[in-house]
Amino acid sequence: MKKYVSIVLALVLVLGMLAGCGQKQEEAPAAPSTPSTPAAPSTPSTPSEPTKPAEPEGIVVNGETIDKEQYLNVVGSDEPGTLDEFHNSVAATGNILSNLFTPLVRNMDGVLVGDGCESWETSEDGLTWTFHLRDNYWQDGTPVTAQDYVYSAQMKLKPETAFPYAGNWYLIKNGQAINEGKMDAAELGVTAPDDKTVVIETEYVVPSLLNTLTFYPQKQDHYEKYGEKYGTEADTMLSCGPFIITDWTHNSSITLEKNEKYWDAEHVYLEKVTVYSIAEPTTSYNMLDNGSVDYLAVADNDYIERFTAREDLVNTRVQLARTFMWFFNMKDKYFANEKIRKAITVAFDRDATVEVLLGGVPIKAKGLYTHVMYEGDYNIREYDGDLIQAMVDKYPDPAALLQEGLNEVDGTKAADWTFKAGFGSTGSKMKEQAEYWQDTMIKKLGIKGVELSFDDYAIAMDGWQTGNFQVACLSWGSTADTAYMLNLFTTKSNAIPVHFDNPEFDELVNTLNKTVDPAERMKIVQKGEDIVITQNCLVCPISYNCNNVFEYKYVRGVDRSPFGNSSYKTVYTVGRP
Amino acid sequence: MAKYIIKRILYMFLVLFIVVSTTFIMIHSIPGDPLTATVENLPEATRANYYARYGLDQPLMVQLFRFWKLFLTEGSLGESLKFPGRLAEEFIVKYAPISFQLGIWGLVIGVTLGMLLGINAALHKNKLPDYFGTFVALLGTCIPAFVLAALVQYFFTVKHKWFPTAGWGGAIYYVLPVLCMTLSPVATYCRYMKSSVLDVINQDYILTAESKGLPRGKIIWRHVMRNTLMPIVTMLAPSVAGLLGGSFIIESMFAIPGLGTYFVKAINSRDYTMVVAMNFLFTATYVFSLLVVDLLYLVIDPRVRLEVKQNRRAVASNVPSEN
Repeated sequence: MKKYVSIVLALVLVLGMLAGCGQKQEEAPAAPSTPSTPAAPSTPSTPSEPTKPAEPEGIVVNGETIDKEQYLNVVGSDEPGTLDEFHNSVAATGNILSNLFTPLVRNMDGVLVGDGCESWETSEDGLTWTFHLRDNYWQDGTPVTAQDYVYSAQMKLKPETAFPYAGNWYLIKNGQAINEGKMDAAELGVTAPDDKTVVIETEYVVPSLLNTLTFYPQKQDHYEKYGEKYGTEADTMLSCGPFIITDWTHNSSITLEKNEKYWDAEHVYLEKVTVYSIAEPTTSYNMLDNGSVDYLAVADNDYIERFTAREDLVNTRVQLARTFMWFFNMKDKYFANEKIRKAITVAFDRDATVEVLLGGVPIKAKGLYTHVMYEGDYNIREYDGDLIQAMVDKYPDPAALLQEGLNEVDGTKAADWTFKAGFGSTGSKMKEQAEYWQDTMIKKLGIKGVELSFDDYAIAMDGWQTGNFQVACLSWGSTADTAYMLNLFTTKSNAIPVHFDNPEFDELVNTLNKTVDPAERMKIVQKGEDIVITQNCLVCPISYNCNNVFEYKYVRGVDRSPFGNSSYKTVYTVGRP
Repeated sequence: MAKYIIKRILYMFLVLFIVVSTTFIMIHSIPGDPLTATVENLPEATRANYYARYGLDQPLMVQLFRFWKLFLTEGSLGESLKFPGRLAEEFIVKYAPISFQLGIWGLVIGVTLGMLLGINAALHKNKLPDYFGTFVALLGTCIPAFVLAALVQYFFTVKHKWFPTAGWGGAIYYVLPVLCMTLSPVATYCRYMKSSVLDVINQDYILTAESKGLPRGKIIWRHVMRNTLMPIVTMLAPSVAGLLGGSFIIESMFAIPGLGTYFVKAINSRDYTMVVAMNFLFTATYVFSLLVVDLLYLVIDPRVRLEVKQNRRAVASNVPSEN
C-alpha cells in the first residue's frame, strides 16, 4: 500500500511541476532594458558646433531627456465591445478609438487643438461650423478626405445602423428626423463642399460642440469591404491616428504601436502601448503594485493608503463631470410637496458621506453642475455659488420643515412617516451607504423609517421610468454641453425620471438653445439651475465623482481633463527603472 | 444495449431543448435591455432602430423560433449584442477550451490528490493522516475561491515576483490559477473518498480477502478501489459540467480570457444572445457528462450491466415473440 501511495504521490508532484515548466514565455512586460543616459558627445566636434550631442541620443521634451525605449502599460476600463464606432455600445471603447483615428479637433488638457483639421470657424448665429482639413493619410497610404468625415456622421444617424448613441447626435441638423426614418441621410448637417472642407450645421446653438461630440473619419470602401466583421479583430482596422492596432487578444490585452504615417508622428513618443483588460479591481491594483502597469485609478481605501505611502507613486485626484444624487418622484403624493423634498435635501449628511463613506475621494456637491463645467469662460460653479449651502442655511430645522410639508399634504406626523429609497446596485458598498443614510434621515428628521430597496441597475431604472418609486439614487455624467444637464429635466426627455413636466422650464431650455452670447447663456444656465435646485429641489445632489489616480514617477504627459480625448499621443516616460 | 444508449441520447436533446428555451424566455422577460445599462441618452427612435436591427422587436415566441431555426440550419447561436459582429459560437469555440483546460488541470490534480488523501484518511482512521485529511477538507470547503486567489496573487506576484499577475500566454500563466482551482476538488473528493472507503473496508468480502492472505496493496487496488469508485464517478458528472462555470472567479482575478468573464458580463449587460449561448453550452456539457457517467456505470459495475440485460429480456418476453 505504502509503495503505491508513494509512487502515485511522486507522479502527481511531477505533473504539478510540469505545469510550471514549459517554454519560457515573455512576461508582459519584460524587465525593461536600462535606458542609456545621455552621454557627453564622445566624437570630436569642431569647437564652434552648437551644443548638440553628436550621437543620435536622447530626444528632449520639456527640458528632460526622455527614455530611449518608450512604451506604456495601462489598464483599460472595460473590454471594447467592437472597434466599429457605429455598433459599439461600450463607452470605454472611445479611449482606443481616439488613438486609431483623427477627430476633427482634440481636447488636449482643456484646450481645443485641430487634429484632423488645421483651423475652423463658427458662423455668427452659432449654428454653422467650418473645418479646414490638413494633409493626413490612412494606413494604406490613401488620403483622409472630408468625405470620410461625412460618411462617418451619416452612418451614425441612419436607422439601419442602429447606432446606440444616436441620441447624442440629434443636435446635428436633421439628425433626429433622419434617425426616425423621416429624412434621407444625405440631408444631415455634416457636408463636404470639397475634399478638404467639412461643414457642420447644428439644430440649435451648442458652443461646446467640439467638447461634446467627436467627429472621426471612416473610409467607406474599407468599411464596406469588411461589413459585419469590421472592428471585431485587429486586422480589420485601418488607422489614420497616432497609433495602429497590432494585436487584440480578446478580454486580455490590446497592443497599439506608433503610426509612422500620422501627420504629427514626430511628436508621438511612445513606440508601444499595451492596454490590459482586467475585470477584477484587485488584480489591477496588484499589477500597479508590481509595476506591470504604469498608472491606475484606485477606489479601494486600503490600497489607497498603501499606494500613498510609496515614494515612487504620485497621487492625483481627477475631477469628473459626474454628479451623484438622489432624485424625487414629483408624481408621488408626498414628494410632489416642495417642503418635503427640501427637508430631505437639507437633512442629507454630505460631509460624512464624502469624507467617511466615500473615503474623501469625491467632492461635496454644491448644486447640479460639477466644478469642471464652463459656459464660455464662466465657471458655472463659481458663478452660481454654493446653492446647497444656501438651502441649508435657509432651513436650519429640516425636521420642522418636513412636518410643515406633511401637514400640507395629509397631516401625517413625521414620527409615523416612512419613505421608500431605491438603489440601482446590489453591491455591499451601496448597501453600507444606504444604511448610513437611512440612519441619518431617521435621526435628523425624526421620521419612523426609510424603506430601502436594491436592484440591478437596469431593473431599477425600468421601475423608475414608470414612476414606481418615491426617492431613488443614481449618478449622471454630463457632456461639455451645459444644456445637457438641464435637458434631462425637460418634459420630452425625462431621462432622470422626476416627472417635472414644466412648460416654463422647457421654454427656458429652448431659449438657451437659441442663445449665442456666453454672458447671456450663463444667465440662462444660472436660472435653470436655480429652478432645478433652489426653487423646486428636483434632486438632492450628494457629490461630484472623482478618480483617485496613482502614477509612477517616470510617466509624463497623461491628459486627465474631463472631456479630454487626446489619446496616448502626449505621453512619454523619463527615468523608467 | 444500443437501445438504452439511443434512448438516453434522445432524452439528452429533449432536456437541452426545454432548458435552453426556458432560459431564453426568462432572460427576455427580465426588465431592462442591452441599452439601458450602458447608454444614458436614449430617445425612442434610437431604441427602436436598435431593436429592429437585432430582432428584439418581434414577439418572444417568434424570436425563440428564429433562434432554433438559426441553430438547426446554420449551427449558429446568433450575434452577440455587446460584441456586435461576433457570433456567439465563435466565442465558445475560442474560449471554452481555455476554461476547460484550466478546469481539467484543476480537477485532475484535485481529484487525484483528494482521493489519495481520502484513502489515507480512511485507512488510518483517528490517526494523523485522518486529521490532516479532514483539515484539508475543511480548508477547501470554507475558503472561498476569491480569497485564496487574492492571497496567492499577492504573495506570489507582488511580494515575491515569481509569477505574472495576470494574463494568458504560456505555461507559467497556468500555475497560480490551477493552484487555486485544485483546493475545492481536493476537499470534496477527500471527504467522499474517505466515507466511501470506510463503507467498503467494513464489508465482508474485504475480510475474506484479508484472511485469504492477499497483500494490502492488492486488496486496496482490486477490491476497495473498484467499489468506492461508484459514488466518485457520480460526483464527477456535475464536477466536469461545473468546470466551465466554476472557474469564473479565478478567470476574473487572473484576467484569463476564458468563458467565465464573458458570461458574467453578458448577464449584467443583458447580452441575450451570449446568455442563451452560454446556457446552451453549460446544459449540453452537463447533460452529456450525465450520459457519459451512465455509460461509465455500465463499464465499471457489472451489476448495472446485468440489470440492463435483464430488463431487455423482461421487455422482450412481454412481446408476443417469434422466439
